[in-house]
Amino acid sequence: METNLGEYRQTVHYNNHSGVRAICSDCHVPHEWQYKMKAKVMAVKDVYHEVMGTINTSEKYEHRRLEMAAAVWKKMKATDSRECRNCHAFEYMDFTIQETRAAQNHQRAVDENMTCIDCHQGIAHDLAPGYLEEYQHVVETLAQSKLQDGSGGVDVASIKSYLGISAD
Amino acid sequence: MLSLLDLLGTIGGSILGLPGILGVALGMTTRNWIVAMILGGAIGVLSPLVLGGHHSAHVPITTLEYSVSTIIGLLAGLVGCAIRHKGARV
Repeated sequence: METNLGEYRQTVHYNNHSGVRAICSDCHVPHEWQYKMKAKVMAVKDVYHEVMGTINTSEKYEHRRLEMAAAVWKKMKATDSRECRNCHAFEYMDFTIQETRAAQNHQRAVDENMTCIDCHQGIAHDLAPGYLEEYQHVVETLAQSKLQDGSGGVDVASIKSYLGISAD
Repeated sequence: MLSLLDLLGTIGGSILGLPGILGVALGMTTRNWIVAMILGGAIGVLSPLVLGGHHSAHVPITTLEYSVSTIIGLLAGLVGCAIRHKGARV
């Protein structure tokens, strides 16, 4: 856990002009009791791998970085970036005082039903090579599973267009 | 496709959440197995609706979440009722 902790300490979520800090659990553990308990149960896997030393060297960590990132992206995409939205909500954003690029992209995200993680993949940890392709794979997998469940799919085309990947 | 870890997490979350805890508590209020099941099941159905929302994110509550929550609620009600029966004999 030292590698990802070190990366997080270099980001705006650790040190920033406002003095507000988001700690690990703010992004990785839901606030809602039911989902919080679910996250705690699932975290047993993380404890197991920490004890077993699965990622205790930088080589091992880099080897698994994309896989671990994809697991978190999948969770965030499936939950509409719920943990991000505990602090950042489109409803509370004043686009007029944001940078032009940010304001445009946030309004576009609202219009196209996108979620935070669609753009902010490397906000707290370094990104592995090939992360865009992996994220695209995560989005497509979720869209397929939602279609199979009959609960409707995510708008893969708009995300692809945003990422600069041609929609097939 | 739901992973096994996700399923285990959903079950564990329900046991440690409202369906498990309040289900047992409500089950202990009666010696009637059917009533205990109904009370536990009702909590299981209501729990995702009451606790599953979010002020900003739109997270759909899946059929599996409802199913697991309801089953755990039913079982918790039965466990509570069993505790009541056992307690009555002491």
